[in-house]
Amino acid sequence: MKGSRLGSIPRRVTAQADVGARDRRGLVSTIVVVVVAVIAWRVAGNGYAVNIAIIACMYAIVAASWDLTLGYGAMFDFSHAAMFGVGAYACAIVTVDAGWSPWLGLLAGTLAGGASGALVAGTVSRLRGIYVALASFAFAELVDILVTSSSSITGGEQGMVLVPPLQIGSINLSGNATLFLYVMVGVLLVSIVVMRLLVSSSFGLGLRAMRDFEEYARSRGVPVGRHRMWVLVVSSAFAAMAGALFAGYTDVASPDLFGFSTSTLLLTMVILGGVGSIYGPAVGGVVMTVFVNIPAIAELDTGSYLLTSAIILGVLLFIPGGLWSAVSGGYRAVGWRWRWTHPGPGPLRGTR
Amino acid sequence: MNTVVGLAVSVLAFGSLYALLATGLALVWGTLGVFNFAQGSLLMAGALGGWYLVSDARLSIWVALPIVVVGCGLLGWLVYVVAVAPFTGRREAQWVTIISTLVIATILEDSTQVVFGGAYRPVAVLVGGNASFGPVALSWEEVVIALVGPTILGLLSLFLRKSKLGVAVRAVAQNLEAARLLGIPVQFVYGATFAVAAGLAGLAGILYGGEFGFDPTMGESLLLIVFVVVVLGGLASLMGTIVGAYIVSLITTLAGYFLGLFWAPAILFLALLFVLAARPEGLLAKRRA
Repeated sequence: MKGSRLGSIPRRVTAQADVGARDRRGLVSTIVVVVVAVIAWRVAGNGYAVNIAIIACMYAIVAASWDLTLGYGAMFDFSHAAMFGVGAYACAIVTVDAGWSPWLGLLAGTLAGGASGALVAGTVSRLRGIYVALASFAFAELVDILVTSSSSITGGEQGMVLVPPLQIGSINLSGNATLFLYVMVGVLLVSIVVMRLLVSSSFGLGLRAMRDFEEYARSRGVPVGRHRMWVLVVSSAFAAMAGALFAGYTDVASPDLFGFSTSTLLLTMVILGGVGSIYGPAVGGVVMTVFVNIPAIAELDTGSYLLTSAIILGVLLFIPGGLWSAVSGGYRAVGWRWRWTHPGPGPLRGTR
Repeated sequence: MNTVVGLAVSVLAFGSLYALLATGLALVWGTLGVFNFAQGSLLMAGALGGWYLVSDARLSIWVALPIVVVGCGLLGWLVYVVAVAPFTGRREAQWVTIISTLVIATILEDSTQVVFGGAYRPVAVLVGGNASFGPVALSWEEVVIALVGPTILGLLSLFLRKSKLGVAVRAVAQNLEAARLLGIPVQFVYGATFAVAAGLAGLAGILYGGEFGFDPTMGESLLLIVFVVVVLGGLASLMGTIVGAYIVSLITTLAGYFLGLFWAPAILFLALLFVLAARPEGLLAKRRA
């Protein structure tokens, strides 16, 4: 029943824009896999580089999952970076305070992210446009305030330390960084494939229909409210999963994860990569993490955020489609693909 | 009695601070259709200016005040030129400018952190000491803040109605094409609007700094509260924004007093949830058909 309702959306309206993308999908995914594998192979000898590569995989998951709401859900969900923190803290709380196993901590982190996503969805369910950004940002700040002020549970400004690492059998994954890197590359690739499958499923088609022309999508039976909720839940859960992995790997959960600077860095990854492809933000995540951790740049400390900010401003001004579009030479038409407030291309253009 | 009056003055003082900040946002939104995420860091810049000019450059606070307001105004104009003007023509301006103003906020905050360090610093007050009216004792600074807000907003309203530039701002907000046809320099009006909004933020910053001091990230938490103000009051009218500011101030002050500061943001967010469930367009905005 549900399937038939979704299936009745005229594909012309939304699918048209993605024909080029589908043709190149195989090519792009191959490139991503090769690049990631080469990076992993190249860096596997050096401890610092392995460390950065692991963190890069985590940030790539966060950036790619933000694309679900930004590029497909047509929602500027500003709580996304906070979900990374939610995952880290949920994992830290159940493992450190309650003494659960790290794997259960990972699960708890992911679920906490999904639940928080549902909470955000409830808040923004009747909001559109700018108000979505405002309300979700308010939610993120609220989480930040709650975390920093309930110091008996979360350690307040100091954060939590000694989060136990993940273990397979008797192997400590954080102790064996090279092995953990391969695990993380695997997690990243699986996450990307899952997200890609999601956006090319009938659910994703409904999302794109909503993004391009909400009233029309609704009139053809796309359950807009439910889709908006699920896309928020899924994207938040992915970010929180990365956060839980991050806490387990670095063994800390600190309030730094919430601030403006983290949001800006993540946004840089998404914008650099280009919105609406999942691959783009993932690549952006890897590139940006490696970039800000190049020793010469990492030494700048706060200055590295300044540099990142200058870069994003430059990209916005000069390469509107994101670096990915520039590199792949018209992979998507140059120019912003965000047509959220306008009807999409197709036979109905101009009827509003 | 003392407590009740004290709370009432607190509500009015915070309300006028939130109103100064939120009015700037609403003004820019109404005129440019742009949401300025750097508004909080412009407030921070105001408090920073207040601290620097008084504690370091040894100026009187009364000399520092106009310098800070004008300086923040110019900074606002610069923000417009760098982060908003290049995108105003584009269809996605609303979204791109969220990112670009957020970037500006990060740049302002982080460069402050790099130059001045992250430490908390006190900012001079306009009027020190306590006032006592019979049995009631109040901090003069709070009384001054409570009075400055409505005064400045009254002047703003007068400016928008009577002055040539103010009328031009309203004209651009109401009908861009017609305003262009009449020869109104739209880019200039946009810049001026941003400058006025930034000046309001700077003023709020120096006032807030006198009460709570300055640190580089102070803008973030205030911006959160102002977001709630804006969602509650709607961005459509200045009056709605101002009323929203006082309502939010009432909620946070009372929640802070009766339940503790820790719960104030949670209560505020809960109130926001209820309002959104009942009236998605905001408490005060007119309902669209």
